[in-house]
Amino acid sequence: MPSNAYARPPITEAVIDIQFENQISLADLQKVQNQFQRDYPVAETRNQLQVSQDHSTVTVQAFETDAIKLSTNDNSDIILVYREGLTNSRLAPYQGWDMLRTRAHEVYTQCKRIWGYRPIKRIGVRFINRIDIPSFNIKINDWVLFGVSLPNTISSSFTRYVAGVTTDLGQGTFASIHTGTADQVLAEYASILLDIDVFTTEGIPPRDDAAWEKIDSLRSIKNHLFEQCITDRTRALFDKPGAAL
Amino acid sequence: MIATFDSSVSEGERQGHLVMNRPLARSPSFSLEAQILNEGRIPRISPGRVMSPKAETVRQAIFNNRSQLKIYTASVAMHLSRKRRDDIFKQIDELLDIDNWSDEDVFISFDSYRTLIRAIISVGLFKRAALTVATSGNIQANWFLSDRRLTIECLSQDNFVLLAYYRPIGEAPRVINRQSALEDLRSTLDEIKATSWCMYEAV
Repeated sequence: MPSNAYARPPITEAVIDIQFENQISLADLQKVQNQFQRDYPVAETRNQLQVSQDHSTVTVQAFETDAIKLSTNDNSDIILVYREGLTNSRLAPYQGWDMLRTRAHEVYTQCKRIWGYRPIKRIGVRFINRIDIPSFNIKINDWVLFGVSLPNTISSSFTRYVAGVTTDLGQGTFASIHTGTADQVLAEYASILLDIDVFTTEGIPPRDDAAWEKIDSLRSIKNHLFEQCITDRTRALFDKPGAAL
Repeated sequence: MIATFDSSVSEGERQGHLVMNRPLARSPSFSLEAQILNEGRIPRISPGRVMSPKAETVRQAIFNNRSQLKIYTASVAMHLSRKRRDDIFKQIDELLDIDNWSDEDVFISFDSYRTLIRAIISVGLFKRAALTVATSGNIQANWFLSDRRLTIECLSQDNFVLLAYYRPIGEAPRVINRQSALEDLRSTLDEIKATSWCMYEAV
């Protein structure tokens, strides 16, 4: 198993998610938006909707904001602050765990200054990978060791699939692993998605430094699962020298 | 496969069994790829369009167009060098310049831009091209040399129009116009003897 980072990681999104015991107030959501306005100037709000139907009349009512999404100008770094928690997301190009963790930690620390100490009920680390394979016609198991099996009576040739599993790793930690085909992003390539979300709801330390060590440990589990799910041929795609234009 | 509804079964008993518990929500995510897996289907609209808020002003529309193209480029960034990506972004910023926008300027078609990026990655190493935008919104890659020039206009769906001009020694100038699909682009460039104008030797 490679110990170093890949030269060309297939990561299209990396997420650190922290959820709290108590809901965040709307006023605090707006304070967070103001706090990060300079570095994350693109703001979108999500409002709760209630749809009711009485005979032939459908009524849609908008309720107050329940989440604010803040993005950098290039849309590559995103903060989602919502009633239950705080998410930091980095879209491709991925710049490494240290950068994501440092940024997420800084955002968390600034938010904590706004709303004070909040007990954490769930932390999660989610990585979504798109593995681009330079061929039209591929055997999924040559690249990803997780997917679907079909009865012999059905053709094993298929153009699209989605499969997922949530597995209990013990001690309140779960891994939600999903795989599937992506739209053809590149000409003459086939793309397989591999989404690994490792999260825990138990034993989250109240102290910040210990909680962040726990986040680091979830990332290590995620890395381990990723390596278990791919083959050497797949690894070669991410390390191919000189392939990046 | 056996479904076990009692979550108190031991770890050994759980092997290969399906343990029915309350559903566990995944961490929030924003990429197109996550959307595919969350919803189990390919979204009907492209990622840039999903993420671009509705434009209310020209300034906002320029910003949206620029973001849409950069988000797509970022999604395939693992196939581009940092230098190449920065160069493309710089040219997008120049073509979609909010501060110097005039009534004659046009937005860049996402489908055309997607064709350009797919060509850069799939066909080979294009030498740095000067990018321009046709009145249709299609993006054009241009190479100008002293006695020759080549324009490749990128259409939607991986199609191209090539216009080459050159003057063989002692002969009248020649103008060649060809249409090509992505899979034939390399051979079309070879056919009009323009490969070396716009491509490095294959690595």
